[in-house]
Amino acid sequence: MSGSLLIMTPKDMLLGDVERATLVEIVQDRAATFPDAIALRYLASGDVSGPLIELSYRDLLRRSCAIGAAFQHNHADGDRALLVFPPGLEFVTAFFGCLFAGVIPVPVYPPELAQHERTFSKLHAIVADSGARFALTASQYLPTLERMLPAGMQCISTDTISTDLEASWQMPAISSETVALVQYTSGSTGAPKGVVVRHRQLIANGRSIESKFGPVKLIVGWLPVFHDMGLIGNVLQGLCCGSGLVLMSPVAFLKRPARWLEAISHYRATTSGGPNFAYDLCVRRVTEEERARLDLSSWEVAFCGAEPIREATYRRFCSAFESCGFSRSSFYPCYGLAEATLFVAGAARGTIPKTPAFRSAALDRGEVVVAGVDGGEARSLMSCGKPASSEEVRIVDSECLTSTDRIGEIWVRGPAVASGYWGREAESGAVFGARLATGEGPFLRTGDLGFLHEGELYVAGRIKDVIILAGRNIFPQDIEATVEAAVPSVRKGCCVAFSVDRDSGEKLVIMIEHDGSSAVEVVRTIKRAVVEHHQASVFEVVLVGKGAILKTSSGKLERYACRQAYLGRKSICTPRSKSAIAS
Amino acid sequence: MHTEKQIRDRLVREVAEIAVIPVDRVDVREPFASYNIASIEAVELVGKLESWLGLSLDVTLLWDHPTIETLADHLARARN
Repeated sequence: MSGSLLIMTPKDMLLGDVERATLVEIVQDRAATFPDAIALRYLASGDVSGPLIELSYRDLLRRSCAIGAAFQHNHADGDRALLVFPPGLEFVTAFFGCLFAGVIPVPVYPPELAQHERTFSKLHAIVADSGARFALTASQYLPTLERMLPAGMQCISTDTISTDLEASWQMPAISSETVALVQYTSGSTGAPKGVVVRHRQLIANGRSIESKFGPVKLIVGWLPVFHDMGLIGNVLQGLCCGSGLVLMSPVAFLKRPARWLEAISHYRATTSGGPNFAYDLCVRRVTEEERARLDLSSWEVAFCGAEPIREATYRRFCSAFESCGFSRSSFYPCYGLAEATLFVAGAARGTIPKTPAFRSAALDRGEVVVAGVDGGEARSLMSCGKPASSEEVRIVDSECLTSTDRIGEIWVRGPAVASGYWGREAESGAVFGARLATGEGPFLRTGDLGFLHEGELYVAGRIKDVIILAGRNIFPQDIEATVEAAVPSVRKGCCVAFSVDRDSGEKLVIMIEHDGSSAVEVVRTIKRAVVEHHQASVFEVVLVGKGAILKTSSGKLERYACRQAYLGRKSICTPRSKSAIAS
Repeated sequence: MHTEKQIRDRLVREVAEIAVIPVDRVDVREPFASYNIASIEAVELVGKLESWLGLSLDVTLLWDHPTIETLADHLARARN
């Protein structure tokens, strides 16, 4: 490893002690105090023995000023700029370059993915929704991007901006209230929604994470930086806390998952994480030989979030990597969402995750009853710990708008809750400005269902129909539209998509009304279309008889009811329907 | 050195494993997408092929060569 990890006292590293209003001031501060400290290392191949690209705080400041100055020459203050980058350092300097000019960064997919048909249309929808005037990329992708984006947008390659420009940079008129990010993670393909995040919210969120995770010596990350967990949880947390950050691309991790653990082992990282599926992938793909070389004893916070956390995954991962020094108490379940900037609740650091068993029958009725010794079916759930001290979590009966002891909607209030959806005032009011029947508020309605047990948060499902596969939100109406387009014999409104919980994760199920003719061909066509358009694999396609898909009296699909029927099976398969089940 | 047949057989086994079907039900002329191979599975498969063949391969490999037959042919040429 080249360069040295600068030793700093814990106090110097804490964001909580630094009274700074914006991320711009924090970076200036770091660069003034520790100019030569390595802010970020990028493992170009993902291998610890491979090429390493490093960025010091001085370099980060200089590049941010230069890119910021280029914007200032364009009078771009307050404009939105898409960030369309391949994995690497260039994304990070471009992100800060925007902040240094008062320009609002809008991270989107990397260029290889953006060219793909489906992401391409999503990209155009984001351009329209955000009103972005600029798109930033690396020079090798500039021609592609110029071809792809609507005429009139200005595409800029940030790596060709001369660092000499830094001299002409001037501090923009920004404050803690200035918007620092528009994060598109919500909404269907046709109607993407951008969460508006201000500097003060990013800083409040950073403090929450810091107070829960404890002192971080080094973060290793492979999560995509155009997503909230990768951008905020890894990049911003690492840079602003000055803890040291080692990144690799998501592709490097997926190709050979052991790379993630090798980087933790090699750099003695304390903090690293990902969605549930990543831990399963390691259990499945890291070989005995690779395992023998790992030392995971430095890993203190193995955070797990962004999709339902499975007790089985936790147990499998711990037993697979115990021999490498991984401690059970390092596994760190947490809960958060982009609408709350990122982090809402997390386990107490250094404790063994709690997985109490609740009575299944009671949970299905929305009641929380701890399973006793007297038998009856029980379900173990993972605690997501207590909310961060600055955030307040309420469980609300969404009909009566009162607090409840039963399973209810998770509502959140606190300084890290974001300001709303970009350009969508009415919708933002309903989601971000919810009030209890007593008038108490405003709260963020998360759309997630859960309950509090002994002060800790348990997530029990979702109100929204959104399907989460490998940490990615997928909207059922998008899948249904694809199926209807791909199979002409499926009539409109006679197809539902929903997800079911399986031991190996959340799985996509598609149910269609169909007469069963050429069933094998239909199932195959559907699977293929869904993979091609959504990059999502289908767990099962169920063909049911006419009228079997449940709808409200106004003809609205009842996805939840269809899902329950699917899980019960019998009620939906009428004798005249044929059920083609393909796993 | 792996022959085209060896590569093809390996791909059939990998696809069968992902799709959870017997190997004799895998059609080498059918697109990978028909077997539930979406982005994550595709990148995983490319990673496995990289280690096995000792080649550096592009993540878009399965989009550019969308069936077992075309991919095995491409890889056999790349290898030789």
